[in-house]
Amino acid sequence: MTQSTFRAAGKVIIWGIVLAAFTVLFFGGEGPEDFAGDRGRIVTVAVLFAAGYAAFFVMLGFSGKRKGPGLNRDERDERFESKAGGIALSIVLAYVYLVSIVLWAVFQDDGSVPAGWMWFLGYSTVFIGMIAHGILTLLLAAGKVGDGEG
Amino acid sequence: MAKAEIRNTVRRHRFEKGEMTQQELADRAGCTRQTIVALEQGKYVPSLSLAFRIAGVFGTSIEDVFEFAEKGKKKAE
Repeated sequence: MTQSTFRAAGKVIIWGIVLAAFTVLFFGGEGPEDFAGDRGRIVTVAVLFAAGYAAFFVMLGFSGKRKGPGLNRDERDERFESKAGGIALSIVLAYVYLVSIVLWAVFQDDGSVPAGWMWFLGYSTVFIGMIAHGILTLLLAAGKVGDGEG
Repeated sequence: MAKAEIRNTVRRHRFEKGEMTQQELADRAGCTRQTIVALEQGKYVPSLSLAFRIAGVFGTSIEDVFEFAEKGKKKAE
């Protein structure tokens, strides 16, 4: 396993757990429409988000370059990560567009979208971007998605 | 224009060098073992820098290890 695939797997696991917990918090309790007025849930989600980033940076540090045998990376890994980043960006853009359109379609008769859904869009965009980049990196490294070479 | 292809004889050179392992070649060439595996399977085209480093490990020229060929064209005799 290279540093690149280790970090990609770590990214998928960490942000997958955070996304699952966020989903429970957001749709639980009083529901998404009351999320913006529920200070307890807002703070909990913020702590969850911070914990996710803390775990993410710890994972990056743990997988950092060391002397001797260990996780390493080379030009091929950087190519995978770069390509995965480009595809993940497209996925994130499409996700934001789709969610926005769906929210508009659902709430157009109400005249406005509950603020809670803006929190959802903001947080979920980060999670989707991180998870997408991790999965794509793993798929490219495994040769499941062509990288234009060979 | 015919599509270009980079072929290599990394595996053959590796065995000719006292059955050098993929990991050892990767360590000496400054890349990962997974890259050597992909190279030998013809699934990866290395950068010029890596190609030169690999040839240097084998103590030979880059042309001895890597061959540039256009698909659909026969190799010149």
